[in-house]
Amino acid sequence: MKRVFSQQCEELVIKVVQRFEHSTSAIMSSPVSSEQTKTKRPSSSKFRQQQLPAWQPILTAGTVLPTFFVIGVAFIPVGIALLTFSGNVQEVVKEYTQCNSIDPAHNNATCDEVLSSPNHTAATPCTCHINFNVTESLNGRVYMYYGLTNFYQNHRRYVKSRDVNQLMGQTDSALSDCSPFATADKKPIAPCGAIANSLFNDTFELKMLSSAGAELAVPLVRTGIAWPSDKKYKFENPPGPLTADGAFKNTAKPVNWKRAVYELDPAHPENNGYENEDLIVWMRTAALPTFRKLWARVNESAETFKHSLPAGEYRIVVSYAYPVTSFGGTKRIILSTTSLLGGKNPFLGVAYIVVGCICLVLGVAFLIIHVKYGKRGTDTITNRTDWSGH
Amino acid sequence: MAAGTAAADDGDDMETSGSPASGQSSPAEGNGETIEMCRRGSEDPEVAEVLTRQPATAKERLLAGARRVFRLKEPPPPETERRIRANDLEYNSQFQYANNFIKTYKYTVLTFWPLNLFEQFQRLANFYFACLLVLQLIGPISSLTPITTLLPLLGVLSVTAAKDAYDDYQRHRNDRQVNNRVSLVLRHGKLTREQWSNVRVGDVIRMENDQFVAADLLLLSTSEPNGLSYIETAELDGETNLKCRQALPATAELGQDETLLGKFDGKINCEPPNNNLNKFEGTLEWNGKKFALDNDKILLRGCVLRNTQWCYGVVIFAGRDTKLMQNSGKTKFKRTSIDRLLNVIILGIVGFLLLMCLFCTIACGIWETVTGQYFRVYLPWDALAPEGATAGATVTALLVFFSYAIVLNTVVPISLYVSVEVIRLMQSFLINWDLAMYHEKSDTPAKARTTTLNEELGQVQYIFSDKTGTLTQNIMVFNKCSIAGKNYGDFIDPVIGEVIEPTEDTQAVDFSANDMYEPSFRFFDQTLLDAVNSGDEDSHMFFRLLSLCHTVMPEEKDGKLKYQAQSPDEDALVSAARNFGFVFLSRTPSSITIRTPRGEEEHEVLCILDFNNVRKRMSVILRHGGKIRLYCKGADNIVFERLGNVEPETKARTEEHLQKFAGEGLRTLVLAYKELDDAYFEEWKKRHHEASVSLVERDEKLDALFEEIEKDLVLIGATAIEDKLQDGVPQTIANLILAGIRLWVLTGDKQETAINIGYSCQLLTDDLQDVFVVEGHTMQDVEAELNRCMDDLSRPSADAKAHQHKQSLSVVTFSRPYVYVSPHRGGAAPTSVRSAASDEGYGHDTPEEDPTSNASGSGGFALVINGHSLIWALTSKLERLFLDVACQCQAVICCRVTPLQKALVVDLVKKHKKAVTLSIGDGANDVSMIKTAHIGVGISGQEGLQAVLSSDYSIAQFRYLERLLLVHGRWSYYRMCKFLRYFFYKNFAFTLCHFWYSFFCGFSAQTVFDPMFIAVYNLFYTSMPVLALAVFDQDVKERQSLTYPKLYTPGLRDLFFNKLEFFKSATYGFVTSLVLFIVPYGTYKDAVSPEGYTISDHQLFGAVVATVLVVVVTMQICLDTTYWTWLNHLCVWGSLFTYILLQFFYNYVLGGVYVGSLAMAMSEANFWFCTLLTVIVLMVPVLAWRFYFVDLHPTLADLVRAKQREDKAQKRRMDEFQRTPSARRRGRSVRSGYAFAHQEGFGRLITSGKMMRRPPPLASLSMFSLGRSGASSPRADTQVTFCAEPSSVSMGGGHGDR
Repeated sequence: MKRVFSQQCEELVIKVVQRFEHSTSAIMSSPVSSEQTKTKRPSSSKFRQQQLPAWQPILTAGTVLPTFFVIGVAFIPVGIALLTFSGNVQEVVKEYTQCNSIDPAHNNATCDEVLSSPNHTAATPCTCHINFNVTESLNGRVYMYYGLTNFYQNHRRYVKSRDVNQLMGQTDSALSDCSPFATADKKPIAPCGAIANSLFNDTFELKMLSSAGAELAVPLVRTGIAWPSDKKYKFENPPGPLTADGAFKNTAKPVNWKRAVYELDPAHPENNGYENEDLIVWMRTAALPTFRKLWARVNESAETFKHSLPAGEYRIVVSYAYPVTSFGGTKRIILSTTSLLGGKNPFLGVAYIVVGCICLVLGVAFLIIHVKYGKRGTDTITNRTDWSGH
Repeated sequence: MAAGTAAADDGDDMETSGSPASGQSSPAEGNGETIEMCRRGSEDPEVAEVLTRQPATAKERLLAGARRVFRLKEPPPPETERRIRANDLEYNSQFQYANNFIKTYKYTVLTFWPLNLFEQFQRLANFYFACLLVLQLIGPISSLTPITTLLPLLGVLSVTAAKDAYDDYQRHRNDRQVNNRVSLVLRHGKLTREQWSNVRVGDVIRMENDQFVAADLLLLSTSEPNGLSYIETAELDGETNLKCRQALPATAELGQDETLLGKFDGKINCEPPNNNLNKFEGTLEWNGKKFALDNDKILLRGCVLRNTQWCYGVVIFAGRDTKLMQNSGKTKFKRTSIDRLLNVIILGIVGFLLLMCLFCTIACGIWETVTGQYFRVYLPWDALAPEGATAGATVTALLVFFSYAIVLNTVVPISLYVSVEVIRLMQSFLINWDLAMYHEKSDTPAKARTTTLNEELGQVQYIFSDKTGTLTQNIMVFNKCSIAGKNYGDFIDPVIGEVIEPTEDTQAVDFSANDMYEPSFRFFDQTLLDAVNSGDEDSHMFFRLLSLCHTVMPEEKDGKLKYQAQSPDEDALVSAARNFGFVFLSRTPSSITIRTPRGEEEHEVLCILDFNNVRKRMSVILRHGGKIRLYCKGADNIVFERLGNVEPETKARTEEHLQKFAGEGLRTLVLAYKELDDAYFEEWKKRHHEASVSLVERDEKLDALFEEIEKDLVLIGATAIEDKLQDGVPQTIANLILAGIRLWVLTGDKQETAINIGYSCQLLTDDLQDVFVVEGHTMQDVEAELNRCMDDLSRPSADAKAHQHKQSLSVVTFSRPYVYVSPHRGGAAPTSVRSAASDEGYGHDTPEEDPTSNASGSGGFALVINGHSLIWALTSKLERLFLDVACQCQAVICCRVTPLQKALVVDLVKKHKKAVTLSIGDGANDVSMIKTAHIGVGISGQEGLQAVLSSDYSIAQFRYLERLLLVHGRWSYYRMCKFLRYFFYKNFAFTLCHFWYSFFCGFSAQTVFDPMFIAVYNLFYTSMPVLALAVFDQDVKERQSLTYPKLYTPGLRDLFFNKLEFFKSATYGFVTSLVLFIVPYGTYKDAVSPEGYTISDHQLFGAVVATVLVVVVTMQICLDTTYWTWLNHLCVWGSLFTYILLQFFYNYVLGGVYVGSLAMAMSEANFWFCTLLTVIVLMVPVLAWRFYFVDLHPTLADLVRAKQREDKAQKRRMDEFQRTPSARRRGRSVRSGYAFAHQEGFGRLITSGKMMRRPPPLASLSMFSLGRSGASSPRADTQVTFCAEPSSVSMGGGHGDR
């Protein structure tokens, strides 16, 4: 049996090589067919004789120096363009970790203090206001993000703590990685794991304040915030209606949650269960401990906000329920437009300009070095020339 | 860990002899076993003892140790005595002697998997990864799915298993082939055909002519008279000449009577199995008589029966007990220096890995204390960690240590070993395929028999070469002659009328008019034949002497006359005479019959005065036509001294011719004769007889007698014999030496022969400042001589005169006074590569060069050392001194060395110099040194297959060594180093991203990349381009490597891959990983897409870094590739394409968790800007760095490459570098010599008449018949009848192997 196997292997190798050579010989001179004469003479194919035609680039001043200059000349304008794009993006960032509760009962304490006070119940979130002035209207689409800092969504145990299959709608999934958030009351938690359990649950309302003090609610859309591919490939509700008796029968809600997974968005029945976009956005764990996540888009269909968020006084009403100060975290709310290249980020622009400049400097330096000291002569080499260099 | 790997691997291979070479070596020819022995014992028995014993015990100890460690079952208790009863199966079977079945395979179909897996996991690397796998299965630690280790590990294991299976299959096949050979066994009084494997101890078997002997036999009877049989032991000891063995007279009478033989019931008591090939002790009890048995009556397995129609013998040792098998040491698994360096480096990497883990552990502990414990709101600690803040943080941190060990383990590249093996295999194929190393005439391509040593071919510093059959063809050609002051043999071009060197196509003289001519004989001077045909007396005398004065035996084979000569020189001379019409037809102890153009002549042999070292001449005294004549041939100075009154003009001209011959590297002999007076001869004969039977000072007396009669000779002429070098040897040696490689010639030949060849192959030149000869017989002598050499070496070269004087005394031991050719005096042609090279002191640019010898402006030194001196030079006291002297010499020649000494010399250099050694040889006597050296090269020549079978590379001609080293070795080394540098770089760049990321993920051992990416990064995404590079890359074309041998030196100095280079690569990888992390970090921090989606998540970030990584390392390979064939393009671009393809396939089709991440990233412009930026940031410094060195400090390769391009641009063909084919024509001292046979010739047998098929009538009046009386022992026979001086017998004993 083994013999047959090795024979087959040999044949295979020979075949591959022959085919290979066939293809090479079509280009090169015709090799002596080894079948004609039964000698051990090796084939004269260019492949076997290591004579395949080849491009042999070598580093010369003629190729290297222009490369430096080309890179330099190309990178600087690109960098400037990138900087311009980034600069065109308008962004309003408001940190609200320590915002004060508007509830008179709380006696002007910060919501953070309210949340951590012993007699606080989860059922009654603390509410606070963030007032700010937009001096220049935000043109184009406006997106609303929440940001967290010092929040380790990328911690190994955190990242791992989810069940991919459960989120794909399989009810019999083992939930093995979800511990200790796998089961509650002997029922599987839906969705299980630390990520889902720590779902960000502050809510925001954006209001435009008129000079008269009237509030105009800015319409926010909470759908279309998750990646289409995630919705398509990674999250799927179990079969059945999104009720306690339907798709999520015999499941428990995550410990930290106030509402079950099928009640996340009362306003939009289809935006519930595992396919809830807020959940999907949260479940795509951030790469860094400082991150922002898309919370809503300003609805462009509303007349006032069709093309921009006009300049003016705004207020965000925060339903403050998510404690972060215990581990030194902060929370932000961000309003931002986007450019063709996305959000505000001068990094690439600056980097391109710097690299471009460095290349130009290198180019000039090497040009001088080459002209002054470069060794070009190859005429002097003989078979006794020693191996120098490094 | 890595050091352990090495140890375990070595052990593993020692036990199993796992290399393919060893697998094939043992049984392939049924005789392919190894011999390590002290064949040519020295004159001093004590010394011989030292030689044989010393390594034997060391080896035994080693073997015993290996057995203790690796073998579970102890070998059976050693046999102390062997008792056999012939033809008595029952009696013999009680001892359970090994049968003749040979087993070299390791596995059967059933045991393959368990055994092979067991063996593989003994390799520490595999074991290490198995442990990692187990760690990954532990939930709390596992930072990666087990598949990331499982996949590569399975790949590695199955590739190795496939290779092992194939090797073992070959062994099975070879075993079967040997075991199934048929031999004729006498069973129940009848001859039956049995397979070799069924032959048992005690069986009587019949051997026929030209058959391999199946087992160690006691010779019973033969077809030849006196129970003689002839064997060729080439497979055992490399000697091609015949040896004879003789059965006991009592058993010889059995003849081929099968009933008698079937009833033969002798009881044999003998020594237990051992590996001493030259000794056998035992007794035979038969018919109530007891006979002593010695080695003369034993035929060993592996010998071939020659000139003997049949013989019978009793099997004494079979199978693994045979001396042949006992001698076959297990092939030691050879590792390259890069392998060893890799082990050290990997050990270093593991240390680095542990350091990183330790750092991360501490950092994790801090993080958990500062942040982690408060973050427990959202991420509780693991179940294993206690609740307490400090305790919990500590436990978590400790667990993270293992997690990081898993995450960062890819800095220890598991696929490295496999990749290296694959590359070596491909490189071996390239060697096998090379047409330029294919020998058309013998239809032999070069073959890499070991596939694991290729890059070491690019680092060879010392070459140890055999002479006969390796440098020379072992063919002596009668080339020129001088008869009565007239020179013959030059070929004059008919067109230009000048003397030119004949080539293959040159029309040779037509000898076909002579019906006894040999077509293979080529001579180019028609005038000599014309002279013979016209009846020129001088030429007749010349050839008559050649046809009479020798000890050649005629033999008739297939109706043709063949000669059996004791040395190829004699053969050449007698053949020459034959072709010129003086055919030596036959001889009896008392007569020689020749045929001359004037008819047949029978000469009565009166006395043979044989050759020996001191006499350097040979004479015969013959009676023909009533005249007694003495014919003498010998070394020129010896014969010239003994000439009578010769015409001064003839003498001068002959001397002139001798000078000319010697200048051409030919070996010369002078011929002379003398008429003897009847009365004087009778009187002399009487005195000779007295002397030869005297008991005191016999040798001296005989010498004096010979001196007396060999004088007043008449000069006839001189012969010039070419010891034909193999093609291209001088050029090859010159080029190898130019490349910085040192060549040592280790030969069993005589000192004079060796020196002669040394000159003709340009190893020695007259430019040499001095040639030291060490030939002391005692330790004091040798020490003194070596010290003197040392003094001379350290002395400035100014006092060359002293050397000159010494040289003439010591080197050219029998020659005309040495004419010193000053290198400044025109004689040294400046065009000669060799002289130019020596002017530079080229031999000394190796790392351990000696400043003093380098300082010597011209010439250099060479060392010639004799075998008997070597014995002392190799003792622990003198070995350093010897080595110091030898290594300062440009060339070293060791002559009259035994195979064991060859190995010891190689071992000495190997041990004390950190240099790569290469042994090249063609005979079985080279096996030990081939096995000892780092690389063994076998010449697939005429001397059997022994050397080839134990070699790592086999080539057909010595000249291919140049290409093997300078082209293939260089490329292999260059490619392998490039591969390794790149491999470490790419793994550091890959793995350290996790390290940088750890600062952002709370040191939690979170990976940046998709686990699947980690699993196949080395396997699929980055393997092809670098494999293509490692197989196809060429920095300069092959022609340039040969034209500029100095291109080889980086290998000698370990320039391309060493710890520093590794450090550079690792640092570059380190920096790359940092850039790879920082640029995407800057780009994707808080990034959103134009559609507002957040694109700063972990998966997208991982996908981006992974993709940029793949692009960057691929771009790096583009920068590294200097030879872009379409295959490289295919691999490079194909690899990138495959990456994208596999990513999408895996994520979308197989449902990877990273689904959509890469697609999202790639749909954003940011990704492309980020990739471009990273590539440029990483490539520009490399480009700048390289350009700086190319521009300001170009290496030779850079220059050659530039030149190559210029030449190409100008469409100008590189003109072949002019070597000097006529180098050997330069004036040189006369070296007259005669290649003495390695052992005693047939002189004794001729005169004793033993060799004759039909013994001549006893009634002969000749003095040779005096001692001939039927049953006298052969030895006694010789003593009396051998007319030649008895010292020749002792000489034979000394140099021969009996």
